[in-house]
Amino acid sequence: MSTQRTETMTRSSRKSKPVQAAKTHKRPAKTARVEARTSARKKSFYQRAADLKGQSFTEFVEDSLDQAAALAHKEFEALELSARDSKAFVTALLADAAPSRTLTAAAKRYKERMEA
Amino acid sequence: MHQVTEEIEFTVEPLAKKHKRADFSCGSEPLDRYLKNQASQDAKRGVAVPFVLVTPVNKVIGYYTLSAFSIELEKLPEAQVRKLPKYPDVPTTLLGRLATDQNYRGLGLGEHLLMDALHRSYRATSQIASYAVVVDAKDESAVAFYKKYDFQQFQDRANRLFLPMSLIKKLFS
Repeated sequence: MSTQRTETMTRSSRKSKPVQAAKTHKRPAKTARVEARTSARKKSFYQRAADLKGQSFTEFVEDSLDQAAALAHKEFEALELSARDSKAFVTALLADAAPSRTLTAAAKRYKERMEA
Repeated sequence: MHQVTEEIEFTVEPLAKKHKRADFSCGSEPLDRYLKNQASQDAKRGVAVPFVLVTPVNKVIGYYTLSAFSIELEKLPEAQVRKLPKYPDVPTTLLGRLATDQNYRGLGLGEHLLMDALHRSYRATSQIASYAVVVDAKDESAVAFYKKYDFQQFQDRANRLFLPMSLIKKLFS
């Protein structure tokens, strides 16, 4: 990828479509370069994929990274439960259960160590 | 198996520069790498708070991370929803990682770290609402470890388990 010249990560407006270029497109105040070294084989695989989608290489990379990053963030920030898991979760929250003997003993050991 | 000895001295502290973690080895490469390369950055950015279990010479022999986490619920019956504080998103605490050095097994350090994490999570509820502690279990033995301490496994997310804060409260108040 480092061999590919990418000036900025802003989307390039296509000259053939002046209508689209006329759209109010907010340009981000600051841009940064993203560089990554990969095999020539992978690079051309990515390039072909970008061509298939009719995107520039930069557009393709940015879109793909956006999706991957959103997924990674989501995994560490939230969990979407299924219907039966939602029910089980809420039932447990509202149940007001008491801790088991094993857990109570573990907490007791912990507190004793902390006081020592 | 090691002989269980309670002789070892240690404390649990928020990760700081003075903590030596170059030799940490828990048997899982990603968990070792996280502690060595990523944990400080996560702390700086507020993504997760790492806590380390250290010996008196600041050698790290265990750690865990806590972060704010949200459980998103499916549609539920009106009667149940009314009793919930914030539907459909329930604020919880994620215990994302927990690891102990493999040279210090059989000392109950994993249990101590888990109790410390539960205790801190509970104390934090005076500042931030949290209705459960959610854990990420890397494998079957991790699942078994958490189940032993009353954690309940999600049926459709088998690598995630939870413990209601109301239950944790009973341990520490």
